[in-house]
Amino acid sequence: MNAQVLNQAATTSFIPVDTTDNSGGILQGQSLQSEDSPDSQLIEHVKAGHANAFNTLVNRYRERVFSVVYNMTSNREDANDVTQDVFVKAFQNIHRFKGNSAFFTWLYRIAVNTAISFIKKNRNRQYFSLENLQEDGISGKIAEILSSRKHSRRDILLRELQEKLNEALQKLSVKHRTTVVLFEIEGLSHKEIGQILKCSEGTVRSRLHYAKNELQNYMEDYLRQGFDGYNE
Amino acid sequence: MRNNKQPQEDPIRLDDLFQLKRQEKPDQQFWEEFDVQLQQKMLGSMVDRRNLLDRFRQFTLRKILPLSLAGSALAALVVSLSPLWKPVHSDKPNTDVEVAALSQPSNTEIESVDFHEATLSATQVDFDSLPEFSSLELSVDASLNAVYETNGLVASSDSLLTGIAEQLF
Repeated sequence: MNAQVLNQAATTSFIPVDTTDNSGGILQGQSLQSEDSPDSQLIEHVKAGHANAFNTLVNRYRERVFSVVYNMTSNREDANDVTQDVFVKAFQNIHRFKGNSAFFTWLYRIAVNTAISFIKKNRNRQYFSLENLQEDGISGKIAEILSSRKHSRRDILLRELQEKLNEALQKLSVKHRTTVVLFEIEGLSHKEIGQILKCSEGTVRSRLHYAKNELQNYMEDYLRQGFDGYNE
Repeated sequence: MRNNKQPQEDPIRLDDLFQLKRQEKPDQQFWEEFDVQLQQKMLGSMVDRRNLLDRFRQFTLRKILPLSLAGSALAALVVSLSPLWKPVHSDKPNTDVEVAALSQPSNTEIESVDFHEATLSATQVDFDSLPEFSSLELSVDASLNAVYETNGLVASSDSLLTGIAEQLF
């Protein structure tokens, strides 16, 4: 990281940038405030010393990065810390990004590696701190079941289901968990996951198959007994 | 609570659970705190990095640079003085003649002497030609014979000394 970036970043706040601000400072004459700017353009601006452009990248990817880390750790506080570390690392090493892959692939790779390191370091310290569920987004079979419950019981059921699901995910090995999270929750393709994890698409498919079978086994008994117990 | 024992006809699939997982999202307040904390972390890392660079620079200037300068000066001194030095003694042969001499097998053989049989009478020396000595008689103490019997090296060294004495006188 060059000194220019350091100096300018020191005066930068991570408040969502104003797209109409052309008042001067480090952003003078630049259109990098635009939220629609492509990643490559923003990265070039960051490399050139305009640290504010990094804000846009943070705002663009923070939820996805957080989601990956959170679903790998099942702990929102840990995910918060790790996600921040991911962006700090990305900012410090952005000059190493050559553009050979998509920026988010590069960022995801940092996120996955940082999360794996964190999990390995804290292997013995494992407790859940779960994120809030947004019930509006729930659809399908679960929404159907929930709609038939009273409000209080619905919350309990959702919380329990959430805990069981996270518990089952934590039983998977790190590489299987990562693959499931990236594919099933983040919606990445096999190819993208292969690039992030540096393995072949066949390996990704194999890991997915195995991990889903394992999850199915872990959850099977609970899904039978647990939901029956809450039927009214 | 009523407990309905009827099994569900359409059980929840794994995909439904993943869909539920996607709905675990932090609220806006979380992101506001996240931004503040991230800003602090980034500034902190920059300060740390600056401190690290400063410390490295100071360490280089204070420790490594003087040492390297002193080392360079010493090395230059050694190099400049080295032609003046000649080895006083060397175990290695310096010339081809010496090498050849060392590589040849030794012709000298130590002959064993039976000192019981040997005549150890006193050696008569003609001192007429040596006016500074009135008389000199070299004798070997008979008690040394016991030593010679057991220690050939003493015998050989003694015979060598005797030979030297003969050459001298």
